[in-house]
Amino acid sequence: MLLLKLATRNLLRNTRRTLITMAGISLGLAMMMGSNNLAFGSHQDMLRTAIGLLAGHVVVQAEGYQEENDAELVVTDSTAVAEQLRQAFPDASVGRRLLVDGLITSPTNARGAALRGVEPSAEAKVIDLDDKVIEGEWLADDDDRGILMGEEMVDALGIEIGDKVVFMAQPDGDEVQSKLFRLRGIYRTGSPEIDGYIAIVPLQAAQGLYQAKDPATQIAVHLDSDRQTLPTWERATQVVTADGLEVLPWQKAIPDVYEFVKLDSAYSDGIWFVLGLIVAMGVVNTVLMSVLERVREFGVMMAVGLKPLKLALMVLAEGLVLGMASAVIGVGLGLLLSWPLVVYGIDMSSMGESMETAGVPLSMHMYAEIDWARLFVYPFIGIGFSVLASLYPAWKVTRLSPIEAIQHQ
Amino acid sequence: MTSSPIVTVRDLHRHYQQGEITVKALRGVDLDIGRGEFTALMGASGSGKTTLLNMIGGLDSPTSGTVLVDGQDVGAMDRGRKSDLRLDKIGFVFQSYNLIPVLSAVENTEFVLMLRGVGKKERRDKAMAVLQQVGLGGMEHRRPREMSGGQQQRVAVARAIASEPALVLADEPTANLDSQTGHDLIQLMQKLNDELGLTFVFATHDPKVKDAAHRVVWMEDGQVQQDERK
Repeated sequence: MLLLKLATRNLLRNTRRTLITMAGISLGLAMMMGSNNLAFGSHQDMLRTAIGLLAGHVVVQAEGYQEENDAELVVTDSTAVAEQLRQAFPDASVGRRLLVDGLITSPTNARGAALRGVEPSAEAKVIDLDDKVIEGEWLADDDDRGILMGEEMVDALGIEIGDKVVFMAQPDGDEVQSKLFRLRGIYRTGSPEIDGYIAIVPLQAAQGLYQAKDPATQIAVHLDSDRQTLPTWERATQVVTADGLEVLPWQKAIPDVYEFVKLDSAYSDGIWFVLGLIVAMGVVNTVLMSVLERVREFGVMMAVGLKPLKLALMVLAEGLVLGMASAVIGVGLGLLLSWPLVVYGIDMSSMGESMETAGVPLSMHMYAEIDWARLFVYPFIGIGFSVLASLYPAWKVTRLSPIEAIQHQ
Repeated sequence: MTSSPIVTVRDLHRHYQQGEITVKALRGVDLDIGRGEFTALMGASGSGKTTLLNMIGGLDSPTSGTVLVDGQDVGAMDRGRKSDLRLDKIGFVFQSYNLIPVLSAVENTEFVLMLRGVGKKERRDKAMAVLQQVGLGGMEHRRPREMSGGQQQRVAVARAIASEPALVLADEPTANLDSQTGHDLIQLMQKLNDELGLTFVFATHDPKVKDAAHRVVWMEDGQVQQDERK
């Protein structure tokens, strides 16, 4: 305790120097927290969109579909499989999708399109595309002829709400299948890939293109929280027993997005690590200066019996106290800095209508989210760097000879 | 005074290399210091008295020869064992007080007790009692900068004796004090020697210390020239 008291008082000897160093650590931590929370919010937004739009927290697909993306590889008798999942996970939202690429033609034009057969009411719960309908309306579950298209595709086809289009594809078997739809609604996400390429129809309408019985490309299980993904996936692998099916967590179903988030997080962690090292140099300077000013004192302490190792511990204790005080202030400042980013976010709509990362349309209004799991890590980062930076000065004092130290002027 | 010496020095040499010149600070010192003695090492600057004191205290290592403190060979010890020896058996009083400026008088005094692992209450009580003993009652919570030179040196004495060491080594303890304060300090140490039987060894130029000492060891050119007992 006396060593900690000594450390605190030694730090207070040169209050200005200590405060400047603390400000460096605290501000560094606060900036790191603010920036990481913004990145975390952006990643979470991206994941929510990607999981909702492209997969589910857990998906059931035909074996091989993940690798080959072949429309012919479908889950047959999908209603039964979906029902099994609904019974196993009553709190989750389970929806089927049938994905097939083909050609959409209007009276005046034609365009390649990715048709998504969905269960409209179930789908509306997991993606916010229904909120992005700018004209017309979201699909009704029993609307066998309705189709929803992005604004860009509608413009390219030169059609309006109520107009007819024909979708043609060769999903399974040799024959080209076609089906007539009427445009019920137009949506706008801002993403050219989605607005110009994806058309949404009720599932049973898309199933009409197939010869297979009750087909679905994927059955997606959407959960309230990503934390439930892995246990749900493990349980789902036991629930889904039919041959030829595979159960994947979203990390494997949309690996590009998962890898992007991991890489982006690692990249920003790397940058902060380097900045942490720069801040640590400031701590080295503070503690080393403080040590060099007290060589004579250290000599006396050694003379009265303090062992070099304890002396080093005393210097490390100064780094510890500096780090602890800075961590408390830094985390407080970090929360303060994150708060407006959580509530108001950053509006980047002046830079464009949308942006897309790893094939996922992202909102132009970025919001931070507090990464609670990391909140308890930040203090240890501050303390860790501070103690780490004290290692060199601590090592230096262990090399002192008591007699030379006492005679030090 | 008991018969077995607390300090035994035999044929002690200490040479320093300064560039190409070898400085022979000690040249074959032989000396025994008995328990309870009040000994002054006197001599001109450079005579080797401080070097000898540092050797006895394990702050420096001999070039050759032997230093035994309470029967333990200081020269053969590593840094850790020397620290233990100083902690357990030796108290130091330095010319420039050398208190820890961020600690109060009582905290400075209990510092050594803390290093010895004495419990918080016990060491605080002991430190308070020792400060009382050296005449600093009421000043326990003052920091060194709030005390005069004489008071600081009393705290240094309190720190040196708090752990009841077998030996107190004092290097020019009165050099920075005015005449009266120096006199008072010597009286204090004499009293501690009389009442507690503490062994004191001084390296000093101060005639007042010489007058108070039971024994005066005169040094010259790194050798003992004369050993006067009173």
